[in-house]
Amino acid sequence: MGPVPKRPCAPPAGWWGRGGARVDLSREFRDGAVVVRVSGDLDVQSADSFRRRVDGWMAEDCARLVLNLSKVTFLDSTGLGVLLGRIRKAEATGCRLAVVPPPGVARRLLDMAALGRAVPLFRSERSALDGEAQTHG
Amino acid sequence: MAESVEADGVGTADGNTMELVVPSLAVNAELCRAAVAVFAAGLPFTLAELEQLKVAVSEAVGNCALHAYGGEPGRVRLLAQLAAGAIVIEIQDWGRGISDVALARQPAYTTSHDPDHIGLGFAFMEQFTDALEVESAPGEGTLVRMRKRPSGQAAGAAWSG
Ligand SMILES: Nc1ncnc2c1ncn2[C@@H]1O[C@H](COP(=O)(O)OP(=O)(O)OP(=O)(O)O)[C@@H](O)[C@H]1O
Ligand SMILES: [Mg+2]
Repeated sequence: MGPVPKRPCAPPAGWWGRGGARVDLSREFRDGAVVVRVSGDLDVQSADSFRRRVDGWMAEDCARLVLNLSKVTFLDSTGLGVLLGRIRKAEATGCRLAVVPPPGVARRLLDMAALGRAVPLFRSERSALDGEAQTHG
Repeated sequence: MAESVEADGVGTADGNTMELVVPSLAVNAELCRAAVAVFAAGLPFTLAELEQLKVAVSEAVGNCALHAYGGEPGRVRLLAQLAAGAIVIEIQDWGRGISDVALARQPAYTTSHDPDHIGLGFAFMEQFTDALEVESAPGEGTLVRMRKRPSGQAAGAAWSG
């Protein structure tokens, strides 16, 4: 364990713990479902604001929810945790949830947590709304 | 006409080092992973491998923000080095430390009271790098060291040696 760096890099008072959300969320009502589109990085920095917004929307209307993650560019364990938390919440509240997974390494994280066993995954928003063939692998 | 510069390590990324000291804030997970991705591109990693490195770095820096200082201000040091064709990354804090490292590294182990924390951070660091070492002592801090070598599948890997 090396020495503590001498010069502290203290941010201005009141700034500590704040940080802009680097994830964009939008909601649209389509074909009797609530479609939530997520783009950007869903990580330790943005997970809280993601959770607050989605929980707010789920409290308003949650008969059918499509979570479109196809534009998610980065996912970490904290982001994955809040996704799993929303799935549990949907189950508990009788909300029918469908997920369009992100590409790349983010998709691999979903698979490592066996997310596909907890919620149906669809290759596109359209197929999720139609309830069509699920993606595999 | 452009000349390739090879001598004395000038123009080659091998041996390059980077050090960053930042406050233990969640925003700095993004800063650190972005910095490492650019730095690591000095070796012939595939884009997927760079994405994997970003996850590993983000987990380690995120842990400093979430666990090391109990919400109090603290510092995180990121050290990266390209040596012998591999990247070595160290992420260090001087926070509360981990009393049982082997237990903390177990998948699904977490001390967080937030039910959404799934305890997969160390599992992802392990999964997405070739080697993971964790040195920690209660009250002294934590040092996470990771190593990763390009698989050799990147386009251009053939001529970059
Ligand atoms: N830098 C650190 N300082 C102190 N404790 C740490 C540090 N990093 C990890 N830990 C401890 O190790 C545990 C496991 O870490 P890990 O990243 O695997 O899961 P998590 O952070 O709890 O949850 P997740 O990463 O899935 O959101 C943490 O709950 C914490 O107790
Ligand atoms: Mg973690």
